[in-house]
Amino acid sequence: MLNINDLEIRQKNYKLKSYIRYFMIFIILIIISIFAVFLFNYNSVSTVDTNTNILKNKESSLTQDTKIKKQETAEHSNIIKKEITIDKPQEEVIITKEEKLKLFPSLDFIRKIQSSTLNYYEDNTNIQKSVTKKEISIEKKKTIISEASEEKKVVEKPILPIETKNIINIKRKNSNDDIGHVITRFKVNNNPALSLFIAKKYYQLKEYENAYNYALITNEINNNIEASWIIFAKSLVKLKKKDMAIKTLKRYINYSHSSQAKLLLNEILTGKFK
Amino acid sequence: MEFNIYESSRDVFLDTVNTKDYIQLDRVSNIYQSLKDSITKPLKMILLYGKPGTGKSMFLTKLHDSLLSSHAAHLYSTPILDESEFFKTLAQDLYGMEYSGELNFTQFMKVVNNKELNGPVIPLILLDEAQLYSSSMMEKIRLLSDTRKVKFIIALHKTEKEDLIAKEHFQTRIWESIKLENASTTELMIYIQKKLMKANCLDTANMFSIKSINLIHKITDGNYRDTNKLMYTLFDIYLHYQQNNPNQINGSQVSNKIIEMSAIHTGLINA
Repeated sequence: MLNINDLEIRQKNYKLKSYIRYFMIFIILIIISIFAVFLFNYNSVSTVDTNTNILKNKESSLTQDTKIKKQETAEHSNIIKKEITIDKPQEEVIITKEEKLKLFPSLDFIRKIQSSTLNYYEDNTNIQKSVTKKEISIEKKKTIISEASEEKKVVEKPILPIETKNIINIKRKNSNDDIGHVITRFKVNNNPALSLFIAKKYYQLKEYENAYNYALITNEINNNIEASWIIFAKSLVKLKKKDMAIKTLKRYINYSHSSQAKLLLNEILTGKFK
Repeated sequence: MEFNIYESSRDVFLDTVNTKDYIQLDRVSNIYQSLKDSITKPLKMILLYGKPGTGKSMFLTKLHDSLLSSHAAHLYSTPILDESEFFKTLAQDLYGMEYSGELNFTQFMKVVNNKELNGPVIPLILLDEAQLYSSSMMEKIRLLSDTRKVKFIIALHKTEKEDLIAKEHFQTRIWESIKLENASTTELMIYIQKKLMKANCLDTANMFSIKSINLIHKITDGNYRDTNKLMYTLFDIYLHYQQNNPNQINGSQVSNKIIEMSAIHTGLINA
């Protein structure tokens, strides 16, 4: 005897059971895929970083042409322009290396060995031009250079831009941070040469109050340093204390008969130095 | 009486062995022909084996019916397990001799040896469900076939008895060994549709798509007996819906839900 209602219920349960099996498989697959994606992402973080670096380098390479044009027009005119032109080939070398990925050996050790010569940048524009082409490898650069110079230079030339970078870095560090560093050193050893250096730097930076203070400090340590008196007087003039500057210089001239102090006094009195 | 399509379709699949319901399938008809050919050969025994529900009984019945006109063929659908009764039945069928008392193997062998064949054709005994005969009985049947005055076609399941048949002394006497297997999906579709069309149930025959046949094959594994059971229940459920809730059935296509319900009811699906 058929019990249709019971059969329908049992059939629904059976169907549900069969769907649960597929559902479980589906869930397991999703978990596995999520885990796989997570692992993939985790492993590819480094590759993503390199890709972003490449993109950045590509962006910088887009501005490369304009920079090089500036470089060509400048033609060794001043140091700042040289620094700019130096930076470009340096970046270019890095770009070509990253685009070639790990096929080329690192030349860092050569950079350390080689000594820098600024003449190279002044003389050889061929390297800078060759660097602007992305796809040219280091080997190609070497051959271009070898056409212009001897074999010994071939090794040196592609490396030189990197060495000059260190020089650039040093120049860029001549800032307030560096003064602060000198101040800390001065606080340690109380050397009047350092305080005088600080006073001069502050004067250059047009921070005349600081320049006045450090000139005064230098004077207190050693009142026979001519430069400290000069900076002291100049700072007073800049701080609109011209009378005090004149008075101080006159005293110092009476004491030391300094010719530089006399010249400065004349300039202040005549109004040449303001 | 009013004709009901589902009722008629249901009754088609009643599990009975009737040669009128025999469905000729290509593979089975090839086997059937090779068996008929092997009967004419001077062999002593023919083994017909396969899993339950593969159509052995139907096959044997069909063979018996077709041989009756040309051969002295006797079909024992139900095994005669009593030895005396078996030999008495054989004596009756082969030689028309009736025994009221006991007839043991020795006595029957004397009878067989003394009797001459009526013609060139050796009488044929078809034994269905032969796996039910004891081992000693099978040995005696072997000895009887050695006299070449009677030929046996033995149909059995794939059981231990088959191993006995496979023994060397039996293998030398069995000249033909035929295996019956479950139906493939295509064969099952032909089987179901032919069976329904034979009973003029064309509408229900057209209800079966390949998808529904695949599901039926998945449930029954192509076993004819299981298919018959499933189909019987299937149309019984359809009949029930037709009488009680006709909106729930679609007369153009068999519902997988009802197939599964039938399978659950027949025990083919454990739910």
